[in-house]
Amino acid sequence: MQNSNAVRTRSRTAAIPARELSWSFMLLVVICAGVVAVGFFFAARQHFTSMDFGIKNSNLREQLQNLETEKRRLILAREVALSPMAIRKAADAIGMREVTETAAVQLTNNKATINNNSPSLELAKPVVATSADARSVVRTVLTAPVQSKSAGETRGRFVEPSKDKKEKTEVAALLKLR
Amino acid sequence: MRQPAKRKKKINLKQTAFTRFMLIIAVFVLWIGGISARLVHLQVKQHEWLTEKAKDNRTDKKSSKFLRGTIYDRNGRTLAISVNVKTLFADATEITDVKAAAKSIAKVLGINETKLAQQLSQAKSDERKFVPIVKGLDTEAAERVNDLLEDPKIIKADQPKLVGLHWREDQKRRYPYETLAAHVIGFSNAEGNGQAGIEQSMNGELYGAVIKKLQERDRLGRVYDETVTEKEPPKDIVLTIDVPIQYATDQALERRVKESGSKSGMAVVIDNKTGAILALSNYPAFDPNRLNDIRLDNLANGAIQSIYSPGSVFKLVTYGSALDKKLITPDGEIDSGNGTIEIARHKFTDSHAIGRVSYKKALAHSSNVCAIKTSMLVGKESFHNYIQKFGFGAPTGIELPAETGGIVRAPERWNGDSLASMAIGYEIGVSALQMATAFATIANDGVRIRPHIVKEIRQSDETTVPLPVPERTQVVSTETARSLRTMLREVVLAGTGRRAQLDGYSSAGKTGTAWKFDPAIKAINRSKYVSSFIGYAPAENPAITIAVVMDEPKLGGRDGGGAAAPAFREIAQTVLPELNVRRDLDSTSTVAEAEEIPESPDAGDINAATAVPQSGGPRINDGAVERPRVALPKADIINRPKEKLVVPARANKARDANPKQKEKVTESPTKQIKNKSSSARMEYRT
Repeated sequence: MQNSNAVRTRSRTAAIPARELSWSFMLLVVICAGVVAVGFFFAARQHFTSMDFGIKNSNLREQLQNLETEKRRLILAREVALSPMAIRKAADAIGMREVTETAAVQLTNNKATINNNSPSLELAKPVVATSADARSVVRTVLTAPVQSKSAGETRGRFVEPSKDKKEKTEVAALLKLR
Repeated sequence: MRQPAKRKKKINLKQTAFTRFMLIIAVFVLWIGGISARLVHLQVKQHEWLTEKAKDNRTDKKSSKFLRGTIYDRNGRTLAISVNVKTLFADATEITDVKAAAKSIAKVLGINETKLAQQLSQAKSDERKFVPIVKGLDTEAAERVNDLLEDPKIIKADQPKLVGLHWREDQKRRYPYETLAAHVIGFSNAEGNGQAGIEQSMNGELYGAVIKKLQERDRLGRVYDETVTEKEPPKDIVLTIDVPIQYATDQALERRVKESGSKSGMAVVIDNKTGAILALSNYPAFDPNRLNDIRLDNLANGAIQSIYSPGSVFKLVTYGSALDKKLITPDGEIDSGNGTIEIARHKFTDSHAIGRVSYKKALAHSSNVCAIKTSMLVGKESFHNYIQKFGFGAPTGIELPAETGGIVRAPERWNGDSLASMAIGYEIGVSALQMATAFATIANDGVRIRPHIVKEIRQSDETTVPLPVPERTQVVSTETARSLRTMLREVVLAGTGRRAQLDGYSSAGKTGTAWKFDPAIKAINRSKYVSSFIGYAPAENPAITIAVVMDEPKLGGRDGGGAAAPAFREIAQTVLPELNVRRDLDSTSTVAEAEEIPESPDAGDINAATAVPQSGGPRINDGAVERPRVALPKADIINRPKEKLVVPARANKARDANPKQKEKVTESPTKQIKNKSSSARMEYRT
């Protein structure tokens, strides 16, 4: 009996000793928290990287599509330029004339003495290109005529037309053509 | 008296702290409870609406079409190509200040501001979301418009950065060679469906399927994820057409049609060894880039869709069948008598009597009497078999739409003079392509190769779809073909086709001139011809066959030798060097052995109008397929004109004089029409 009472008393009165956290436990918690934080960080980073790649991918697709469109446009322009109709128009524009079969025979016969009065041999006068022909010419190099100085201009300065206005006029003209 | 000290009320700090704590907790609970209740409401009650809204905010659905497949010639030159274009449209419901928007747009695009403002106001009141402003702009022009319309204050995912304006992607079909091979290529409509030519017949391969894109965008409107529904991209078609050859053919045909004053013309160039069509031309042509300017009369591909009486060119079948049955030899002799023969009480005459001549000479002089006599040797059934073996009466199978099979009646429906008529190319309807194929058969040692115009079908990964090998049929023996070639050579050297002689190359062929049926007078019109020349070159080892058919030549030589042979010459002279065919003659060695014999369907001493009841025969008719007034096979019933007997020209006059007799069939003085099918007969002069 005594023994059992003694035990009860001790258990009621004795203060429960504070459980001390070990350094190793703390370290483990910190490491785990760090791992989780780093994990979150990496996940966030991967998410944003994926977004970034998605955006880049989309841009590249768009670029590819634009290049494909441009390629088709260039193919079309090349075919139009190489078409016999365009060549004929260009030849007409510079004053060339189609040689008929009879004229060709005449040319062969008169090889030695070219008859300048022969209408078949007469070169046509160069035809001034019409606006329609001019449109078919693709400008590859940007050139501008030398601007003469106007009375009001100071030395070495040229008054350039407003770029915006110029562009607007070009677009308007382009649209009118269409 | 000492006042009792005021007893201080004992404050229970713990109790106070607890009460305060509980109050705070209660506030928090209420707050969180409220939020939770709201969240539950949003998540449960408004779940679907919110999900849709979230999706709408970040996703963008786009539908676009693959660009229609490209059509190339045999050397890879682009004949038809689709390009991306853009349409600027306004969503009127998004525009708040219509006047200001109209002002900015009109300023940039140079269009009428007032008109645009009215249009936008109307659309806004109608709540229209699509008001097209400019159509068909290419990327470059669209970029410029974007730059000019950009307002830095406006945050918008797409361009142009002006409220209410958007771009729509479209595609436009372009034909860089304009009228070149227009009837072969055809055209497609605004929806991208082929309407004629290869565009129509190969629409399944060329059609650009609709693709749907689901794009997810971030807050700045940048696409970060894209889902595209997989569809098979369209295929490209490579034709057997060769641009330089086609151009030369087009030019020669156009020039010849103009010079001869013809109503129209058609030409076919075939590679004998492969059956590939190198050029197929019709004049007048059209420009598929300008659909609004196309005349309906010019739309049909006459070379495969129109039928006509071939006339003397059909003697190829007559002599070919006799040679193959070993009934005649090229050097064997035949007597044409006085140049007249009567079959079933109908007289057939030659333009000039040639007496007793070799078969070679008979063909060279295009003697009708000799051809009829030869056909009599062959016999009705056998001749019909050969006609079918040569491919007449059925479509050739070329990959072009609406090809006609021509008209060949079964022997049981022939009349007494049908064999004689068919021997010289009447009472039969053929297409230019069928005739060209028949000549190509002879040029290819009697082997008929199905003509084809599609060389290959290319897939998007540059691989090709295997195509069936063109059928090869031995129609006549090699020996027969060679014999026939020597006879055809004679036509060019000493016969009606002298104008088909080439410089540096040998050539062979046959002329044909046939009268046309005139629907206006319902009889043969002797002033209207279909003149043709079909031949091949070089004569010994033929590389190409060229068929030229002129409809109603009016100026100069109107027969096949005068109207069509020069076009053959011009085409062959350009095409043979193009194909690197070696010259087999010196330039000076092409010497005619005889006087030129013009082929002419002169009436001679027989008046067709009185001697033979006339009726509609197969004919060319402005591109539309017309049927002659003959008994047609069932398959041809669709376009069959109403069965009606037609009286000869002279009888017509008598009938017109007496209107009461208008519907009554009048008999000719010399012959009575016995049945309806006999009305298919024509006057025969070739």
